[in-house]
Amino acid sequence: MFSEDIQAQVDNLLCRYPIKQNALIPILLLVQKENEGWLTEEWMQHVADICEVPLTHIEGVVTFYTMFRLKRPGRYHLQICTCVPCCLVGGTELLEHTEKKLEIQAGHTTDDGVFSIEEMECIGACSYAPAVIVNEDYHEQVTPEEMDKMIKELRQ
Amino acid sequence: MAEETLVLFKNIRNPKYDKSLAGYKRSGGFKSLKKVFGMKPEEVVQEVKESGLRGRGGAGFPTGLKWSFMAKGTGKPSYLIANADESEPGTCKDRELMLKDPHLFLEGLMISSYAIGCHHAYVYVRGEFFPAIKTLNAAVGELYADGLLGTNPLGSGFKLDITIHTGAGAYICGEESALLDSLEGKRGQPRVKPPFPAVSGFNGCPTSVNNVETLACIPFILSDGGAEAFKSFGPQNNSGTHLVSLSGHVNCPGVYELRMDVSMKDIIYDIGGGIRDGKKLKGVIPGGSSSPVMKADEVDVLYNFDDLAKIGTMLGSAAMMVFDEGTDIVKLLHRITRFYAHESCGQCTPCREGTHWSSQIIQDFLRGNGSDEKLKRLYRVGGNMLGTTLCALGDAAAMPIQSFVNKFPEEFRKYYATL
Amino acid sequence: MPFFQIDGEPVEYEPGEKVLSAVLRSGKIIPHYCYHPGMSVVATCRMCLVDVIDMGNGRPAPKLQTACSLDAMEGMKVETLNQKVEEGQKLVNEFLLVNHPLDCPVCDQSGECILQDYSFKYGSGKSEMDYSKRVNGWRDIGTFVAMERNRCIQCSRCDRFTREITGTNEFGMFNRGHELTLDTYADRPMTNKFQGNMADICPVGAITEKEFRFKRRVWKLKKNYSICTGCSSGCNVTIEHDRNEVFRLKPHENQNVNKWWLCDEGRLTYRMMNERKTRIPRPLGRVEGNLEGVSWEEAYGAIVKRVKELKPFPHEVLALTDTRASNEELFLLQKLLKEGFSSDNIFCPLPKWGQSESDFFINTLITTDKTPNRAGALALKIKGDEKNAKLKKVIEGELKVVFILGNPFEAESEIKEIIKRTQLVVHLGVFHNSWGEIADVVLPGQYYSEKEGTYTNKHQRVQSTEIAIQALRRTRPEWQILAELLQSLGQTSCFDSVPQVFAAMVQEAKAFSGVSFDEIGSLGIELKNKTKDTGMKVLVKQA
Ligand SMILES: Cc1cc2nc3c(=O)[nH]c(=O)nc-3n(C[C@H](O)[C@H](O)[C@H](O)COP(=O)(O)O)c2cc1C
Ligand code: SF4
Ligand code: SF4
Ligand code: SF4
Ligand code: FES
Ligand code: FES
Repeated sequence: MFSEDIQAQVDNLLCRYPIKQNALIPILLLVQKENEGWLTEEWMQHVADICEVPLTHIEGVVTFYTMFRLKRPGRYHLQICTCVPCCLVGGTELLEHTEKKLEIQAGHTTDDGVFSIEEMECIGACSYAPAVIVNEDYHEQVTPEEMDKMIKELRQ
Repeated sequence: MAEETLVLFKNIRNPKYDKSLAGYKRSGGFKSLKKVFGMKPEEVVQEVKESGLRGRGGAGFPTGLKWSFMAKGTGKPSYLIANADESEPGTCKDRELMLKDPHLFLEGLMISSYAIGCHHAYVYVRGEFFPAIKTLNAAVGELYADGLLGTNPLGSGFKLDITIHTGAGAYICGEESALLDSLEGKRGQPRVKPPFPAVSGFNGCPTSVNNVETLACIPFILSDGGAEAFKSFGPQNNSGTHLVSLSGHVNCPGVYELRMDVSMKDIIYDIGGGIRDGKKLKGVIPGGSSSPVMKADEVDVLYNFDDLAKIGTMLGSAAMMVFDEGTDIVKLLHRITRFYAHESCGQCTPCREGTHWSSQIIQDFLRGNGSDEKLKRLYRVGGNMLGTTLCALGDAAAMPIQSFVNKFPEEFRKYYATL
Repeated sequence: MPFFQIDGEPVEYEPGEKVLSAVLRSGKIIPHYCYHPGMSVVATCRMCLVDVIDMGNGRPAPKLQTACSLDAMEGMKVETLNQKVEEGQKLVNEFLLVNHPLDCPVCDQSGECILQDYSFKYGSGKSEMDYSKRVNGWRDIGTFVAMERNRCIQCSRCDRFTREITGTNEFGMFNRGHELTLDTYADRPMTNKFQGNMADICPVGAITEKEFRFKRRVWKLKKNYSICTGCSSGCNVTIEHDRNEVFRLKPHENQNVNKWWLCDEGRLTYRMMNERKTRIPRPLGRVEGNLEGVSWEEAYGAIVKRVKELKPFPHEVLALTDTRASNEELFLLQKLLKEGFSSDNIFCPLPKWGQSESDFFINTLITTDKTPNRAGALALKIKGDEKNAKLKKVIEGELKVVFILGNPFEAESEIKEIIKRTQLVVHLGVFHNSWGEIADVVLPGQYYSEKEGTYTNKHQRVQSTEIAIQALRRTRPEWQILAELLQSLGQTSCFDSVPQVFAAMVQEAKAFSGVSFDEIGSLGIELKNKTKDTGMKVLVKQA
């Protein structure tokens, strides 16, 4: 089911832990990344077999952590922090601005599948608030104007 | 004039610093490790005890003492886990260390592993920290390539592996027992204590969980004369320098390394450059979102564990969130309670129900449905979470509620008082 | 044993034991939801709060502690009734009611719901939470149970049950915080054979037995101790009934037998207790080829008359029994043959039977031997073998009188064909079956829920049953019928009660020696002289 490269990464993860189940979360993250940012039942079952845990266990895990997604996110997943320090310096306004701009609510994906927005709790960049993660990259002290510019660039 | 004292940020503050292994070595890195390999592990623990180092993860527990609780002679391996889950709102210091000087932290992790007899250390990094994860993985790669990790680093005969482990989005996984469950590949729900991790932690083995900054202090403490010097940086029982994450309405937010005898006032006005747009200070949340709030007239206090405890609040993770006179207290508290409602693992009753309920009551105020009775109820719901939950998240959620209502009751009344 | 104090009274504990466990064993109560003695301690409901005024070192604990996770310590002093504790319990209960529908009037748990009890005790009975409550809804979650998720208080007993007790992992915890749900994922139904236990351990009415849904309010039910006769494990049960109708079987804790559990198949055996259509209602005798109703005296009279006419030699008399009969019935049947006919031609079916091996104790409960008293038959040395070879030899010769107890060899038409030709066939049974069709006299017995008796389970533990419901008027317990037959045939021994029969059995049957009826109590007692080979074969270990 895995490509050779992914299989190698999975094997490497498995051998870093005393028992297979320990590697579950990193493996799920890896699989999710390979599968365009979301998990399907098929993939979960496959990981369940690899890590020797019941499928229910995986389902419990993926519904616990916010980074696991059971529906497909946009190509660019905008994770906007509105937690306390970000909220103090404009995080909430930035989120609202972005929602308006993309005409979707947080938790949704644009019709063309390019963007999705997620409202985040503190992402650990509070001294550089408001902070945004786009896919895997941090952007700090983001103003609405910078957000507009970023969206424009990513669209192309 | 307050200024930084550079121990942990010695390299980071050097604009020409090269954070690679070679660069770290050039700036004197791994000298402590070499020295430590000539000591007995107990001696290392003793040095750390003498330095007076207290954990930087939030609880401020003496690190040396924590290590001495590790169960010995169990026939099971011992583990050291670095807590890099940094998710307490306001806190962004560990990320700084991992991104900008990964080898300092890793050297600390290696010395500490030697001290407690751990042969495989894990770094539990929150999953959203993609850049830090990349940096750490690269740094660990360098260490293996150099022979500093694996079997027999520096000819010591000691064997050590380090694995960078990623979380997947859950604040509660910063709590050490939840972190262990998460590391084991489960839902990150705090465990019943006892048994404590020092007896039964990762996969049931003796384990110590330490904050990244705590571990980053270790190379300095173990350098020649380090323990003494470390102790001299602050008042009694508040040893060393610490990283302060300053955020909110100050002119110069940022992460600063300070001694523990600097006052909050100086931090806000000197280090932080004062309040933005010439406004007045209204209050400060001093130690991460869970610490009881302080009013503007309370900030003339030394920023350390004991002085803050004396006035009924706490240092926590040293994350100062400063807010100005224009801040809506009710909205601010609502944002805090929403955080806890979102992050409660939900297994225990008072926290699962209380975090959600309190957030709904505050929302009532925002919608114009507040009342004296609801204010009392809010206070009571907060109080009922305090001291009755399985882990400290319940307390963390309760303390802001009670302190906000105590200190800013008029702000709540504004929302419903007839004009 | 060391002890600590609870509300001023000493409680003994085993080293390493938790306070709640020791207190519950001592018969006292501390309110609790998530703790269950058979499963791991999670300490999440926070209901079992106690005030430790002395931790054993002279110092009090700084705050209330959860008794379920608190290590018992010598010299510890714990208070469970003071104001601080009451306030703690009150607030936990209030939090639980925040999202609870409080639909007790339509809830099957009503009357045995701890939440309801404590809410009456501590609560105002209504919640101050005036927001829309969590809505989840009613769903079928398995073959045996349904779930009303609104009522769930997230104690996680169900989750731990399928993880730790059955190992089937059908249940799980999903989502987190206020959205935390305990459920099967995405409507997948459960398949484990022990779902009824989940209804038992669910402290509220979230998981309930479908079989029992809306049938009776629980406070109307009367209870009697008994055992399940669904297989040779002999799980301990209480039969719960009202107005002579049985509504359900519930497990009765016995650490040596079923611990806290019961299988779903066993639970369903209660249906037989209410069965009336196929019951033999009164004695029957063959009059001109047809079975017709007769009185007990006529039936006994006819048997005695025929026996006197036939004057059978010992080898011309035979008794067949199944292994559902109680120890006393088997013993008296044996005695009837021995004393009435000097014969020891008494046989029962003894096929090999399977016992599962498993890491999960509960899987070892269900055996392939679906009768409750095979071990009793073996202890009494009733004859039989896997292929019925010995029996077949006996029936090759001429037979004049045959007694059939219950429904033995039901599928062996060959045996039936031969016995059909016998001059006198007497059948003792509860339900109409094919033996009745060939019998000359049919004597109606009683189902085990209607009579006393003892049964020997697969571990050769003797356990007893109580009378739970009243039998049909014109039936008699088989032990009594056999005793009366003995007397009618001129024997002097006279038995008026089950304990009396048991006492005689202890005297005469070596396997039972050293056991007394009083010792059986509600937990049973193992035989001292055990049968070595019980015909068990170990079934492959289940994953
Ligand atoms: C709800 C909660 C969240 C926590 N989050 C963190 C965290 O993000 N990082 C951290 O280092 N410690 C966190 N802690 C503290 C840890 O439980 C633990 O005390 C700490 O990792 C110990 O390290 P130290 O002794 O070096 O401080 C948290 C505690 C609680 C109760
Ligand atoms: S206090 Fe909250 S986070 Fe901690 S165990 Fe209880 S429900 Fe989970
Ligand atoms: S369904 Fe019942 S047993 Fe399961 S968590 Fe809810 S209340 Fe507890
Ligand atoms: S295991 Fe056997 S005795 Fe126990 S409940 Fe099931 S059928 Fe009855
Ligand atoms: S609050 Fe936004 S990064 Fe911390
Ligand atoms: S029974 Fe102790 S916390 Fe639930």
